[in-house]
This record gives sequence, C-alpha cells and structure tokens, in this order.
Amino acid sequence: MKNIVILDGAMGTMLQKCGLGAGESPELFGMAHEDEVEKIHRAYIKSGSEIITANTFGANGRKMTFEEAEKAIISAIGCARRAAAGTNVKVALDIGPTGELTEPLGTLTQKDAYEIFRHAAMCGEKAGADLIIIETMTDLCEMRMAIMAAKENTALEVFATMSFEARGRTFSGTPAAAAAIVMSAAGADAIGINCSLAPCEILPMAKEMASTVTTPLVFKPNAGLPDPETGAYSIDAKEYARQMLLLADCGAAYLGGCCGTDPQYIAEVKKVCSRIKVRREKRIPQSLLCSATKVVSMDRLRVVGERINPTGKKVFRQALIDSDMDYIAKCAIEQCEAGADMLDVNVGIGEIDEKEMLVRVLRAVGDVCDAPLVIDTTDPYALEAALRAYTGKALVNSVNASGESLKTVLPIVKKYGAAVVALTLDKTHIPETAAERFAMAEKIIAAAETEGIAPEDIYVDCLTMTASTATGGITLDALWEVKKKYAVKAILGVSNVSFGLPKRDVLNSTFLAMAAQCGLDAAIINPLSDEMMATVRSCNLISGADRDCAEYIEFTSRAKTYTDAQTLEDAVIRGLENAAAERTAELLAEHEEIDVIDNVLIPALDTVGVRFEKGETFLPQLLKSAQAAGAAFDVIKASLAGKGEAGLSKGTIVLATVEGDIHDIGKNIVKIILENYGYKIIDLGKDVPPQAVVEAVKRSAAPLVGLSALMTTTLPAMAKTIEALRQSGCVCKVMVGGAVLTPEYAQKINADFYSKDAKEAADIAGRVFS
Amino acid sequence: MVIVVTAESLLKSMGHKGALSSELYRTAERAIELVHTAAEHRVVYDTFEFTCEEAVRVARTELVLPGRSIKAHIENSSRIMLMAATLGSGIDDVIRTAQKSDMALAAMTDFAASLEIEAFCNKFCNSMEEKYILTSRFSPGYGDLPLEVQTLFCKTLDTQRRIGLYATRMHILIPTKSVTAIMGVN
Repeated sequence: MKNIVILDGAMGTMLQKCGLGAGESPELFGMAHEDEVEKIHRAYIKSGSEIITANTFGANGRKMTFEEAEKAIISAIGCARRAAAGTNVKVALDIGPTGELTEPLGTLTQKDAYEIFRHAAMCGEKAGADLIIIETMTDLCEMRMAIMAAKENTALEVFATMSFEARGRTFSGTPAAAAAIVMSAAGADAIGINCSLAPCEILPMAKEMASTVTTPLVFKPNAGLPDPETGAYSIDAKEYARQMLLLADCGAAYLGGCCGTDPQYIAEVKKVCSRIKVRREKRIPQSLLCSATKVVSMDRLRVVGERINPTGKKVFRQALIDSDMDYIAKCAIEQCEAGADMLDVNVGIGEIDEKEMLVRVLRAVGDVCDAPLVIDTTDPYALEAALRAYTGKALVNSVNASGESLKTVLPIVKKYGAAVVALTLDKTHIPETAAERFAMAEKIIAAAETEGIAPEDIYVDCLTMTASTATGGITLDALWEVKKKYAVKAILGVSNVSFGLPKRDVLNSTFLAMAAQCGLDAAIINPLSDEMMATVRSCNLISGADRDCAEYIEFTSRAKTYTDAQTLEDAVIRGLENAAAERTAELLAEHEEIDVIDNVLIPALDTVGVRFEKGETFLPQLLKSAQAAGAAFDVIKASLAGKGEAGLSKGTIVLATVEGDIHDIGKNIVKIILENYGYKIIDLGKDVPPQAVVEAVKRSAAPLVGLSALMTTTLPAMAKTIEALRQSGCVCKVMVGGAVLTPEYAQKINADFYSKDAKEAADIAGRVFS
Repeated sequence: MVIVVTAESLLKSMGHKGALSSELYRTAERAIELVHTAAEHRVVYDTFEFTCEEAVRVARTELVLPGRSIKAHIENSSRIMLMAATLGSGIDDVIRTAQKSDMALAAMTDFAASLEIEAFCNKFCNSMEEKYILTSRFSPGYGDLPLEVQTLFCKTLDTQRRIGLYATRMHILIPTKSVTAIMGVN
C-alpha cells in the first residue's frame, strides 16, 4: 500500500503577494518574473511537496493566442524543472478551464475545446512535464474533452479535479458522483475535487466520490474563504492540516492545497498526513448510469422510455427527416415528466445519416432533460461517435452473442466506460429454450470480462417474444437463472409481449410484474402509459425499494387539470391545448385538413392577433393561443401523415439569432407564431455565422429570412449577415427584430422589413408570400 | 427566493389587464415555482481605490472605465465597488426546456427571473449599506460606458471561478440572468 502523496499549494495567491494584479494573467506575469515563480516552487519543495504544479493554469489558446500559450508553458515548466532539479519531485502541467462555456449555454463546441486542450497538453509534454493536472473545472463536458485530449495525445498520467459548491454540485449542476463516474470513464488516472471550499466542506463530496469509483482520489481544498476587506483566508495552516486528516481518512491518494494556501500549509499537511497509507473501503459494486447532472442507480425497478424510436411512427420518422429537434426534445420531456429514469434513443432510418443524427439528438435530448441515455443503434460508427460526444455514462443497446458483435461492440463500450445491454441471441437464430439463452448470456459475460467490462455494467436481455407465438415463461426462466448465477443486471423490452393482442397494457403490465419478481432491473416501456407506470411504482413499493412510499404516493396523487372548450375556435382563443387537439380530431372526422386550417384555425388566430395588437391581450395569452393552435396542427399533421400526404406549407422562412448573440427566446416566440400561420420554419438557432444563413437560404430557396439580435455589440453581425446574403445573389427578403433594433437602423443595414414583435412578423410574412 | 412575487403581480407586470383565466394563473404560478427551485443566488464584490483622470482607473487592476457617465457617477466617492451577481445556469436550463413545450411558461419564467435578479441586487446593496454609503448601480453599457468593458470586468473580479459567471467574446453575460455593476463607496 502506498503512502499519501503530497502535492503543492496555491500559485495564484502566492503571485499576488509578488504584485500580481486582480484580473492580470498569472502566466504572462510569470514569464516576466521567472525568478519569483522558481522561488515559489522551491518553497513548496522545501515544505514537502512531491509534485509541483507549473504556472500554466490559464495558458491555453482561448485565454491567449496559441503562440503565447506555448511560450508561457515552456517558461513555466522551465521554472518548475529548475526548482525540482536534483530532487525526485515531479512537475505537472496545470490545465484550467478555457474560459468559455460549452454549448448549449455558451458557444464553445466540443471540437474547439478538444483542440485547445490538445495543444496545451502536447506543449506541456514537449516542455518536459511529468504529468498533467486538469483542475478547477465546473463544466463536465469541458472536463471530459480535456481528459480525452490529454490521454489521446500524450503519454502522461492525467489527474482531473472539479470545483463544487457546498450544495454538492458544480456551477453547471454536476453532482460529485457523476463527476467521478465520467472523469474515470474518460480515462483519468486520478480524480477529485479542488478549490471553492474548505477541506471539511469538501468531505461529503469526497465520500460520495470514494463510494462511487475505485479511481485514486485527489483533493486540493481552499483555505476557507477570503475576507472581503483584508483578503486573509479564514482557516490557518494547523486547522487546515487537521481538516485534511478527514480527507485522508476517506481514502485520498493525493493531497494538496488551492487558493489561500502557501508553503506553511503544505508543511503542516505533510507533517500530519504523509505517513498515512492510502486506504479505500471495499467498494460494493453498483450499477450506475449518469448524465452530466443526474446519477441513476439500479437499486429498484427502473423505467427506460422507449418513445424516441422511428419504428412504426410516421410523424417521428418525418421529424427525423426534417431534423425537427424541437419535436424530439418534446418527446424526451414528456417521458421524463411521466417518470422515465432513462431514455432509449434510436434514430435508425435509411433516409438520414444515422451517425450525424444520433449525435445531434443526444445533444438535443441532453439539453432538456437529465435522464441518462440508452444509445440504441446497430451501426458501430454511429455508436462510437455517440459515445464520444456523450457527457455521461450511457447504456449501449446492444451487443449480442455473435462473434462479430462481440468483436465490434465490446471494445467501444470499454473505451468509453459505458454499460452494455447483452442480447441473448446471435447471428443465426433466436434461442427457443431458457437454457440456450442462458448459455448465450454466459458467452457474452465471459467475453465482456476479457475485455475488462465489469458484470455490474452488463444488462442481460433475455428477449421478450410475442406471447401469441412463444411462451413468455422461457424469457422469465432464463432471466431468473442469469440473475441467480451472475452479478449482472437484467433488462427487457416489455411491449413486445403483447404485439398483435388486445388490451396490450394489461398484458404488458402483468409480464412486467412477473419479470420484476424474477429479477428484472430495467424495463423498456412507454412511460406515458399510466397502467405501466402504476405497475412499476407498485413493484417498487411491494419490494421495499420505495421505502417511505414516496414515489407511489406522488404517482397516484397526480392531478390532471383539464379545461374543456366547446369549439376549436374557443380552444384557440382561450389557449387550451388539450381541448384544441380534441376538437380538431372531431372536426377532421367530417372535414378536410385544409378546411379546418383555413376556416377555423387561421380566423381564430387572427382574432387573437388583433386583440394583441389592440393591447386587449398580452404576450403570454398570445403564446398560449399559439400553443393551442400548435396542438391542433400536430393532430392535422398526423392525420395527413396517416393518409400519406405531404404537409401543408405556405412557404419557407429561415430564422436565426446572429453570430455572437446567444439570446433566442424572442426568435423562438416569432417561430411559434409563424408556424401557427402555416409557414415552414428553418430555425438555425443562435450564434449563427453569416455564411450558415446564406447556405440555409440557398439550400431551401426560402423567400424570407428573419434575423434577431439583442445587444448593441451583435448588431454589426446582423449587418454582415445581410450583406453576405445580398452578395451571394440570394433573392430573399430580410426582416429584422430584437430589443435594440429600430426602424432607422433596420433601414441603415439594408433590411427589407423591421418587425417590432411576433405578430408583425406574421403580417410581414403574409405580405411576402401573397 | 428573494422577492415575494405573486402570480397576479407577475401577470400585471407583464402587461395583463382585465380578468385572469385559471390557465394563465396556473402558468404564472408554475413560472414562479420554476424560478424558486432553479435559482442559485450568487454574488461577489471587491472594493478598490481608483483614480479619475481622462478615464476611471481601478487600482491594482488593469480595468479602465472610459467615458463621462461613469466618472460623473463616482467622482465624489472615496472608493469604487465592483459587484457581480447571478441566478446561475439552472434558470437558463429551465427557460430553454420550457420553450419546447410551453412558450407562455417560458416567457413568464424569463420575466420572473429578470425581476428576481434585480431584486437580488437590491437586497445585496441594502446589506452593503449597513457598512457603506453607496451610489446607485451603474453597469457596463449604461450611458457612454461601453459594453466591451464587461469582459475585463469579469476577469478582474474572477467571476468565472467564484460564481460561474462568464462574459462571451461579444461581451454578453452567461448565465443570462446576471448583473455586473459599479458603485461609488463612501
């Protein structure tokens, strides 16, 4: 057993004592004061640091130029190497955040983040670093890119630590357990926590990490909080060391200090902790999946939502072809609100690029709900791209017992630290006895073990066959045997049992309850079915998993408030979504879709619009009406799809929030109103470069473009976009809007129309398309 | 939650007149609930000495505040206080998510969150006034103080590390329900 290794303490606060100003770059300061930096390193070495961290925290190609970053890294590593000369002390390259937020909150892409970190890591290795410490991260997506960039482009060990608030999450909402899982899965050699909090405040999160992963642990707390007047930190060196003992007790392998600490603190920590052996509690294996913000344990029967799947769903298929991410996001939100613990994501249709679509859909779903995802694909390239992009620990659906599948899928699962569904079939046949299915399960489990995949990350699927043609008992017997012998988890796609039979929900529920008793851990079902969810909640209550009956009570006491309306017109004017959908279905029994739109919906919207213009109603009412109309349109679209007819569209409009601007709620309000009036909207989102707008207009031949900007700083981008459109020869009209726009400025930048609100945008569209 | 906003007052602030439907009322209540659960109120501040020549220069930093407006605002103060406050990224997450299924809820939540951040800043200033005499808040973008100052302002206060507040390259604050401000201190 090894001793705890002592790292160093703060550099930033030490440099401030040498004259570093607030907001000044420590790295650039360090290049001009190499002697001071070296002195700080020597002081830490003298105090007992076994690893010193070079002054490279902000040396990256986003906070400065790539050339400056490289120079700063070479200088800083040089200082550290000189200080460490003649000792066994190791020198670490320090990598901090890029300084920009990743999508969807910010505009930094995964690709950009990866490149920035790749550059820093390679410069550090070349300059002579012994290892890399990535620290003070709060964004799990960014952290993951940093770890992957460092591990894939250097031969160095990588330590990764994140900063948390006292509530137990990072600023972007990542809990300690999720951070531990994802940092370990990304390949970090040691993981943990640094900055923001004192050692005793970090303790609960440290324990959470220690019980979640077996990866060695690193902790570098702050010396408490700085006094706003004096700048002095609240915890002195002796007290700090005393608190660090608690962290040593919970299994730390590396201990150091962050803001407010100095060589004296490290000396005290060394005195108290350095002879302690690293000891980890024997970890009880857990089956965990996570997103960036939520960890789900298979400690009870869990629900996997099955609805993001094009099989047998015409409208969903069309949404994929149209890249309608909003529709897919809505599908995700509905399932999560109904109680799904995880969501299955399947986008496999021939008409689209599955690899590209799967990555986009994973992001769109992750942007709106925190359920961990089940990646459902047979395409290994799509699978790898998806796992590479996913910030979380996913469940791969699936691997089977054929040699080809085992060879292709298991290595990808291992590489990205995912879990995997094991289908008990192979290329040639579906086994018809429980014993055969059990044998297939064994084969996969053994192959997974060879690959280094732990049993707790294997979810065996003993195949649900249609009850009308095969005996469900075979599935249940196989499930029972597998769970008896192996410490794996079990999953089933339940709905198949009732295919072709009446009263599907009753049959599904019964099969689900029987499977739960045989050891089922996760069920792929429709969470929007009250009957199915009732069965799940009942199983968990009876088994004792839902200890205080909380989930059961919450589920059974859900009130569905529903206000009715007599006519579709009434439903739209009053903004009643459910009623609008129902009245539309009734009307379609006797009228053509186009008649319902032209004779009922549009006049109702016009009424609402006029009242809004007159100031008799206000924005939320307009929006509620728009949503009710939207619900009506969804019913109409489904009806048309069912008949095999194309959708009705009055014309195509491209919408975008211009480059550099990230406010998009105004544009989204315009979108919903324009969709109401029957226009097809190509929504390019926010921070859209001029060229992307030009390309979208060229591709779609849209006669009208709507641009929005909310800040004076992004107005120039609007002007540039319009210029690009004119120069490219696009024959489209441009309307502009946003809080800082005026009719005068709109004219100045050569826009065709200025739109003061969403209603006016609809009027403008009406004029353009008439 | 800092402010006690009722559904009625939220709707009135947004311009609603006349009778309230129960759907609107419910949505407004839901919006307030969303802000209440998602908001993580954080604030940081530091005080500095400053000089006032052709521009206001904040001592021990690289921060320069140009223009006549800010000079007029603080020239009679002995020190300058820089503050930054945010409701956190959870609010942006709920607003983004709400837009997918209920735009009215999203618009109301957005509005309620804007009221909340202002109220939070007011609360902060009130608590500071137990120790100091402060001028009113003056933010980058006011008067002739350019918005471009935002980025260095955030860097000076180290807002990223301390409260998770970023300024983009276009000088836009993220999370969006955030405020940066300058006050004169006496």
